[in-house]
Amino acid sequence: MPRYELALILKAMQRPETAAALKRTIEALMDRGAIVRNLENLGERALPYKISAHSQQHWRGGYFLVDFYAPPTAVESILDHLSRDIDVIRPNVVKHPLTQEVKQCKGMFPVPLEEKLYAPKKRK
Amino acid sequence: MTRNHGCCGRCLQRSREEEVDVLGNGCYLPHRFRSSHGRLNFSKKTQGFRKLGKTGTFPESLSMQWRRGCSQYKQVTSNENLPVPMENPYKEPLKKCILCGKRVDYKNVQLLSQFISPYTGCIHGRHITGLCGKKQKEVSKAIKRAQIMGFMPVTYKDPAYLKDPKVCNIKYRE
Repeated sequence: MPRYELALILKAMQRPETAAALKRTIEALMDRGAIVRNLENLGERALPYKISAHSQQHWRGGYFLVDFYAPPTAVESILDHLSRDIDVIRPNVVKHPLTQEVKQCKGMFPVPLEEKLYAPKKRK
Repeated sequence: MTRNHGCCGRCLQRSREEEVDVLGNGCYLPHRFRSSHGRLNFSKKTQGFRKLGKTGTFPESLSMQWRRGCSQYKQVTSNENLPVPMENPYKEPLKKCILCGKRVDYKNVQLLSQFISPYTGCIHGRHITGLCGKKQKEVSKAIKRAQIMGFMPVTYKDPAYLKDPKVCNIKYRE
């Protein structure tokens, strides 16, 4: 199963309420056949811009990162479920960045700029 | 005056080196002043001079000498000292951009903020950042992703990262 990453922004709440919201989220993930690997807390901080969600404006939020394995068909239902949750400001599921390998770059080839100076006119 | 004697010009050079310098001051006499047996002949009618005594007609015997000279001269240049074709051993390794071989993530907002303008928040072009094609694309994709997902501000640079070291080739007005 491919590896995904859920970047979750929760409403700025008290600790027990945040814990309950996270528990709800992970249970929803596991119900759809996902295997949760890790849960990271990036801290509660001010949002970069005002976000309005579920008829409320938010300026602060708690950032969480969930990496999990899931079947590709389940991703859509996960996003659907999270968008209906009132405590979640913004859910985003992306492919896990660690699965993408860093390609070895040979370097930058020097481009002959003299050719570009008098380039032939493009014709349609 | 053409030097085309019907063979390569090298025999002229060789004969110039080997022949005795009669005048003694380094001046070379062209063949037309020499008869077939090597004697000097300064008469004005040298070119059309036919009667030469023992040897045959003027142009034929001389051309035989030239041809002989040519065949011996071919073997002087051997293949040992000629340059061998090979790739440049002094080639410098290709220059790499600052992010070559490094992973670009949408989560490290500090790195991504180095490639945007602090006043408008617009992403700098390739000619400013100096990144190679792939990395520029990765960086701009990561910036857009971070902005949409709520990690990075759009219209300005996060004030906490304003004092970061300059990476781009841009100078702002004070």
